[in-house]
Amino acid sequence: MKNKIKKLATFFRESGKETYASMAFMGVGQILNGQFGKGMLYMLTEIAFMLYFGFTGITDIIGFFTLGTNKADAWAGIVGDNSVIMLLRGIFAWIALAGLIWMYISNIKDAHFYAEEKHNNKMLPSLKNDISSILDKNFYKAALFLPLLGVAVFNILPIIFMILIAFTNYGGKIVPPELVDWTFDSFKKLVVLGELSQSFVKILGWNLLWAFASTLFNYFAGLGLALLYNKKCVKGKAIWRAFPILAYAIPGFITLLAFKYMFSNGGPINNIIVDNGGQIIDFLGINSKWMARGIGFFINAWLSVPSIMLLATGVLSNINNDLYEAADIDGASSFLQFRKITLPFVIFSTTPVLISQFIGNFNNFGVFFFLRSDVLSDGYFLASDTDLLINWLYRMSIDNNYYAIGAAISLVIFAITSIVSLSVYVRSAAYKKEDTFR
Amino acid sequence: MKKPGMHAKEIADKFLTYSILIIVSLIFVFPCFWLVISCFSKSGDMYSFNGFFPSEYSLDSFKLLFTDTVMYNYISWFTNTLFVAVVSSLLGTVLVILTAYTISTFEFRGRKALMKGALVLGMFPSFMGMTAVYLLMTQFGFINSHLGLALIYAGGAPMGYLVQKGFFDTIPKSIYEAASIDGASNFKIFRSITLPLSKPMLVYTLLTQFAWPWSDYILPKLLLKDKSLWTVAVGLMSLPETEFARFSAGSVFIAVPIVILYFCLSKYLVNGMSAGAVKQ
Amino acid sequence: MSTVTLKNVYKIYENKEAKGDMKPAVSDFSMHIEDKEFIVFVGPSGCGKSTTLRMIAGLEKITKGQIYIDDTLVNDVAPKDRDIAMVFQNYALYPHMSVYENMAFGLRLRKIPDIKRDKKGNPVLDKEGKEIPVMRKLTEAEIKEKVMEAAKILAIEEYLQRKPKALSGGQRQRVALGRTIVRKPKVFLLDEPLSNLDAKLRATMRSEIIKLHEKLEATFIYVTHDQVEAMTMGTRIVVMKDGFVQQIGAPKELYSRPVNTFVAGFIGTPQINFFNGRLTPDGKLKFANDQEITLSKATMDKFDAEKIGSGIDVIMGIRPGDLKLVDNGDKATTVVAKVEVVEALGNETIVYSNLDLNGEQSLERTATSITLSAKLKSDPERHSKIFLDIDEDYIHLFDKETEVSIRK
Repeated sequence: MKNKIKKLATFFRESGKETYASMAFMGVGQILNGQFGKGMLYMLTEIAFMLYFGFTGITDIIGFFTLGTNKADAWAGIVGDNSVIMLLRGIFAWIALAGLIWMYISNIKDAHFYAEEKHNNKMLPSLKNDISSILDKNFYKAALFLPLLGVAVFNILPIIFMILIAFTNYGGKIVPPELVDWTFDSFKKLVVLGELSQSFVKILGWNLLWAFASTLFNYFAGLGLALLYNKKCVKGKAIWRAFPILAYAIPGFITLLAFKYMFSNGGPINNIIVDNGGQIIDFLGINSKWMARGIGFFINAWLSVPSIMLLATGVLSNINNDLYEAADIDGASSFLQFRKITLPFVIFSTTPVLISQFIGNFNNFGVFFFLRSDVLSDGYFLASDTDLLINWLYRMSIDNNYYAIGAAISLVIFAITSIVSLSVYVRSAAYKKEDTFR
Repeated sequence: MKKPGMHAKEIADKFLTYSILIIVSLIFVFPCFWLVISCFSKSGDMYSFNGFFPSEYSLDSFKLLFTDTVMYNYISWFTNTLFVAVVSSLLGTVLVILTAYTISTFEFRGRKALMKGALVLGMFPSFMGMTAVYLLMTQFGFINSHLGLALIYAGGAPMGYLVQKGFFDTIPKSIYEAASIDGASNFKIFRSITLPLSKPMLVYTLLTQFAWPWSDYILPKLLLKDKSLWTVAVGLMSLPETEFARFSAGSVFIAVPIVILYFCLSKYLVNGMSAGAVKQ
Repeated sequence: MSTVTLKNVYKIYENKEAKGDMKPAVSDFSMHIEDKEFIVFVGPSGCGKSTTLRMIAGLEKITKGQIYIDDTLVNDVAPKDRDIAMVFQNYALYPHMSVYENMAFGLRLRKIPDIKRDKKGNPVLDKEGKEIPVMRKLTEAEIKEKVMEAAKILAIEEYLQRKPKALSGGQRQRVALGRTIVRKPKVFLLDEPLSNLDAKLRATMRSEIIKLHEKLEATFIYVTHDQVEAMTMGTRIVVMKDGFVQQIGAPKELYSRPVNTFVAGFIGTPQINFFNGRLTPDGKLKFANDQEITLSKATMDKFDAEKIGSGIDVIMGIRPGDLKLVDNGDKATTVVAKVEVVEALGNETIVYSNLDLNGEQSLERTATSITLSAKLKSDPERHSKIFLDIDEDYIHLFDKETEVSIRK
């Protein structure tokens, strides 16, 4: 820290007039350096930012804190503030402010750097040089610009927005034109006893059970299947493998809906049962808690085992055959070879997959959304007994507009998945060796 | 000098292996088979079925699917889906490939931070930001817009760059160095060395980026309010049980192309997946 | 004309995770490489030789110091603008291009100076009647001519349409060389180009590269860990260890006047014999196991008397070829040894023996092991006692503490 202050002090002491000019107004230093084009661009940027902040930016930042003071009143003809839009614009203004500060600092550094270069009698790059460098030296910047923009707008901005929403009372009755306020209520509601927290605990428990059970089952079933297809005595491997690939290729929502029809009250299974003199079984109905959970479990396996099988097949083909030959010479039985060579290798190679499978299953939205989205169970607040947190989140925020609670649930999901996976991931060998593979 | 006992054991092993193979295959193929034969049900109503099988067969449901478009306009659902999937596949592939290539090849400040950031972002529930996306889209005027939908898919695509990065990591760095000594700029290297070398990865990426919007339900449901703008997934979900044959016909019709694609490209698929897994 | 000059060059890899571990990969490297020299950087792996080469190529940033090509400072010049060419250990051919395209790739990207011409090829003159200089790309015919010329030199004309995958290791190596020579660069950099080839092919390629160097009359900088390659190819050799230059010199010089024990041990096969001993000003050199030789006044004059003082602990080095098998121990420079292993190679015999006459035979070299290589009429018996005469003229003495030669 002390070092940094010292560095900054010497930086100010040794800077020339160009640096100070750029501190006063972006781009002036560059023009003094003789880099006219770049200087003009910097100046225009500062002017654009000034205009933005002058016209709306500062208001937006204030709005971010107040979330609106002016309530709409149709009778009195008052238009009023839309708190949510104000929040969104406020976030945007903060990002713009960060951008401005970043530009400002880079502008000072740039002016300082090229002033020294000029002092050392070096040729300074023209604007044309700078632009052509983005195809070469700075290609990575150009290449990353669009992807980063996309992720920023469609991933980061929404996530920041929802994180903030979790600390407001947005949702339920409080939607625009009502005014929204900052509060911690959502988290309190999840934790402090009440209908909401009871549902939360029950759903969380089932969600964890589901995630661990289905991850383990699918992983080992997929691995087992891959080993089965890899057996020496199996002829026509490609044909056998085609069946799970078929299941993998069909869009998930189609198979899920087909399964829903299959198990529905008028569906073929119940048809057969009735034809044989039985009673209709309400497989997915309101009272079939564990049956529905079991059906969901196996349907999920049907959907995800093939992909793990494919993956394990790829990994298996990477094992060096010499290992087995050496083991054969050493007289190891085939079971021992499996335990000592195949399993460690596959598990080592697929630890990251195991994690992503866990996260995928923890957040497995599709299965119960398609099978039981029309069911709401007793003892749950706007949820069914098969719902995972993510399904509940959907029902809360998309179907019923409980935005703040939904966002709080999202944060809980995030906390759980990140803690579990980071602790596994950081310890896994695959992460530690990232650079050795490069 | 094999003992007869060993021989019997081998036969038993073979028998067991093949029985498991047959059972597994049946488990996987039966629902698909059921869906296919259901298309040919004459009445189209699930209640008329005889167990798993339709009581009468005909091609009516396919005819209805494309002609009876008043209530359920399958043709426009289909073209909508195709448009969204193709646009987001192309855009998304460009973005993913650029991200993966850059992160794999260049050592720049903030590279590790970017990778860690992507990891953390990936932990948030996938549609946590859905409400915000919806609000953003209303601000941009992109509600009921297929382009807006495709932009969302493509914009999120770079988050899944790891598989592609794993592939790029396997290209020896010295090839790039040789090219740069030969006088190629980084852009030139990307265009005439990297891209031709990554054809399998391009195919894999195009396919996966296509398959996602092709079968997604949530986003179109949220953003496309107008029935004629729906995608196939939203449309099929809206069908009642009495239109079961129409549902299966519509499903089979969109599943077949993608299944064929997967089978043709299954080699790339296995390579791509294991590249991502082993070399993350 | 193309010289390369390195002035106090350092390379320090920044590693944030291992704080404090900032050992430079290359330290204080200075040398001047003349035009048309064949310089070899040699040393064990991790000694910084490849890093230095890559800094000359521009593939690694220089932490400190300057590199000049001719008289231009190239520290901040991009690799493509340094007018160099490089051959990589794994060849780094473009797998999707034919051999021809591999060689043409660099040519297509270059521009050459020319004058402005009209469509018929006649020069266009400016107002004052002078020719107007422009830069232009090579035409397809020019490219073809250059590629064919290089292909002819390397005898790879038959494979021009093949992809690298369809070539053998030796053929790939030629293509990699061909890719560098088409452009006629100022400096050729070769990073262990032969290490992926088998021994026989390596010997052939070695002489081919030497011929190529003579033909092209360019500056070559060659990195290898193989001292035989270094000795046979280089006009000058740079021996490196742990990032430091140990010695720079012609092969003969390194062999006959190594500056320290590392260079003495690294250069020459079979490896030089080292013994600990104590040298006194009267020329007596007593070994740790009590054998003693006496050096003549003439020999002693070659060493630094100041360093010897009243006596000094030394490491004596003597190459196996500078020992002679004699009948008795009459001479002052003869030692006695017990034979352990005899390797008759046909043209010469290598005798592994031990100065410790009573010791158990061990599998490894010990401090008293002594190796002789010579043409022998009859090979000595195992376990027999032999007399070895040390040729005083070729004796190397190093200070035991610093391991540096005590020659004047």
